[in-house]
This record gives sequence, C-alpha cells and structure tokens, in this order.
Amino acid sequence: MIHVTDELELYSLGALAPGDAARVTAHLSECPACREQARAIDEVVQELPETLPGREAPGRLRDRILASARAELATVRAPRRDMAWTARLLRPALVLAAGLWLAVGAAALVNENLSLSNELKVVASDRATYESIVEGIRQGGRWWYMAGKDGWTGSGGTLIAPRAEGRPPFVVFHDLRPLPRGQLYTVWLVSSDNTWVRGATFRPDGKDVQAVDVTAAIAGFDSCAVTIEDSAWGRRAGPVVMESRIVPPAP
Amino acid sequence: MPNTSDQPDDVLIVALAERDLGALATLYDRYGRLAYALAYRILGEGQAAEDVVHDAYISAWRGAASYRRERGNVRGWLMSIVHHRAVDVLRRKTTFRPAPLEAAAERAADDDTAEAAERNVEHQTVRAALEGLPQAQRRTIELAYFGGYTHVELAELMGVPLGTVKGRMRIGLQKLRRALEVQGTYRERSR
Ligand SMILES: [Zn+2]
Repeated sequence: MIHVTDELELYSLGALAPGDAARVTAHLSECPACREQARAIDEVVQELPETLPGREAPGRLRDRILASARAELATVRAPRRDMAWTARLLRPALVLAAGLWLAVGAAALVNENLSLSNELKVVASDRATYESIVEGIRQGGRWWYMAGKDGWTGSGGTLIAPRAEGRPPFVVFHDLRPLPRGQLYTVWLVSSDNTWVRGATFRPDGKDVQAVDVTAAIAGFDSCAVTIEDSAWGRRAGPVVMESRIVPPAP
Repeated sequence: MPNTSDQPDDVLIVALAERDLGALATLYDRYGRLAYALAYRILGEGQAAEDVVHDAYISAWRGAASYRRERGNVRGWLMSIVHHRAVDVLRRKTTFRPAPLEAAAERAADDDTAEAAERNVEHQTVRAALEGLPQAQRRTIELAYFGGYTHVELAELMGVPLGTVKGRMRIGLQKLRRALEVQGTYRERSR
C-alpha cells in the first residue's frame, strides 16, 4: 500500500488536482493510519473559515434552503408497504434490470430501457428515491423518453406514469445541465392538438440522476417536453431542450 | 424533536438524517453565517455564494446519514462541504484568475466594517494565529484554501518549486495547530 502522508496537507486544503484527490480519498477509506493524520490536519484547516470577517447571509437564503428540503421530502416519500419485495430488488442490480423488463415490457424502447435501468442503479444510493421509483415501475404503466437536443444533447429524462392509483407520474432525468440562477426546468405534457400543460417545475440538484414528480394527470396527452423558463407559472415561453421522440406504447 | 435550538450538534445530525426540518433550520442558524462568509470569500460574489451555501446545506440534508463523528465535528463537516462546492464552482467558472493577491487584499479591506469588529474572541485568536505565520506560509495556505489554487498553480504563481509549496503548507499548518492548541479553543468550538 502506498501511503498518502505526503499529500494530506494539499488534500485537506483542496489544492490537489481532482484525480489526485480521488486517489487520496480512496486510500483514506482503507488506511486508518493515514486517516488519523488526515483528521488532525482537517481539524486545523476547518478553523480557517473562522479567520474571515463575519458576513450576514441574505435572509431569503434560510427560507430557500428549508423550501428545497421540504420539497425533497415531498418528492422522495417512500412507499413503506411491500418492503420485502423492494428489499430483494435492492440487492442484485441485475435482478433490478430483469424486473424492469418485466414491468415495463416495451420492446420498442430497447436502448432507453437499458439506459433507464442504469440510471436507476445510480439512484440506488438514495434509497428512499429508489424505492419509490421501483415501486412506480413495478406497477407498470406508460413511459416516454425525452432526449436532449441542441446544447442539451446527452441529457434526457424518462417520464413514467405508473398504472396504480395514487402514485403520481414522475420523471427520472439524467445528466441535467446546471442552470443559471432564476431559470427553471419545466416539464410539459403535450396533447395531440398541441396544448401544452405544465407538469413540473424544478431546479437541477447537481446529481447525475434526479427524480421529479409530475403534478398533472397523464391521461389525454401523447407526448412531453422540457423547456427552460424564467417563471414557475404561465404559458410556455422558453426554448425546448428535451422532447419525447417516440409515440408512447399503448397502456 | 419539539425544539432543536438547544440541542448539541451530534443530536441535530441524527435528527437531520431522520429528515427533521427543525434540525436543518437550527444548523443553518448556527453555521449559516460562517458558511456564507466562506463561500463569499472564495467566490467573491453574493449570488454564487448563496447558491453554494444552499447546495451545501441540501447536500448535508441528504447526506447526514453518512456523517461520522470520528472524522471531525459537524461544523467542520459542513465547512468542508461548502469549501468543496465553492472551489468546484470557482474552478468551473474561471480558467484564468487574475491578480489573486490584489483581489484578496481588496476584499479584506471592504470587510473591515463595524460588523466585522464584533467578531468574538475565539474568532480573533484563530485569525491572530494565521496572521502570526510568516507571510509566505500564510499566503500559500490562503491562496490554496480561499483562492482555490492547486499546488501546481501555486508553484507557478509564486515562482517556487512544488516541494516548497508543500513544505510551506505543512509547516504553516503545524504552527497554526500549535497556536490553536495553546489557546485551547478549537476542540471546543463545535456545539
Ligand atoms: Zn496510508
């Protein structure tokens, strides 16, 4: 084992390049001796903010943090019934993939299906979110994949409408771009006569994968899209950055 | 938990892992100002600092279950999340950061307000310890931690070999540690 003693000050001060920092992190996770030294250095480094002049944060920041936490509580509420079933799925990721195939069974969407199952594995670290997603898929239903376009190529999201009563539709996004402050992603449900109804408005949370609940009922719409808006209300005004490209499978 | 405002940090962090909004609010009331000061110092701009503190607290809210007491106190843990995010934002938005020393001096001057004068005694002792370091050591530490510079950038910026940068950090932090131990302040800071 190559110890990282020599790099711990750099590591703690944040002065290593990302690759080196990751290597040190990995080493610390398995070496108690280096970990103890790192902790002693961290103790000093973590005092550095105390050398700064006090600076009052804007009053709205507290409200904003609490609002985000509250919104997240609402989004990730986990279904507690049938835990044994989800617990079984939580273990082997392969079983999850198989479960997805059975539950969704949309042969036309091979690529999206595989990518969705991979995304769900990423979310698996957030158990509550994961359970609610698995629960939604297990109950079957319809789903749409929205592919990112233009500057959003590589981003995407799957809108899943569970068949079961009482479980709202939701979107699992992957690789969402960060947005400038004041801008919002908005999910739209689009009917065949081109009526756009707002389904969700949210800010990206910076994770690789993000689940977002949709507040409108899916019935009567046949495609969906994501735009960037300045406001959480009103008609669509911003550019379309993702849209569903395939007619959804029949329920 | 009916009232979290009197609870010690170790209790709050457990409540946070159980998704207690009151615990989040109390941790913000306790350390939000420090977090904001840190983010502001790194980013030099209120809006970005606000975003970073928001994201850091939400990240703590999500990750409270992964907090381990033996790796440091809650305040230190929160500050390391804020620091990490702020430096990340800084590095993404700037490929070229001009005149760091001047900018830092300017910011320090603009902070010398009546409010700043109200800093508590502990706070001043940490600052005094930092200011007591030889300038080269102090600058190296400050430019790394507050300036977001990597050691390679610092070596270029200061015109010294990598080993010197590393050595200045090590000796500076060791001195700082001894000064803080003599003052006996820093182990007790977290509530
Ligand atoms: Zn080691």
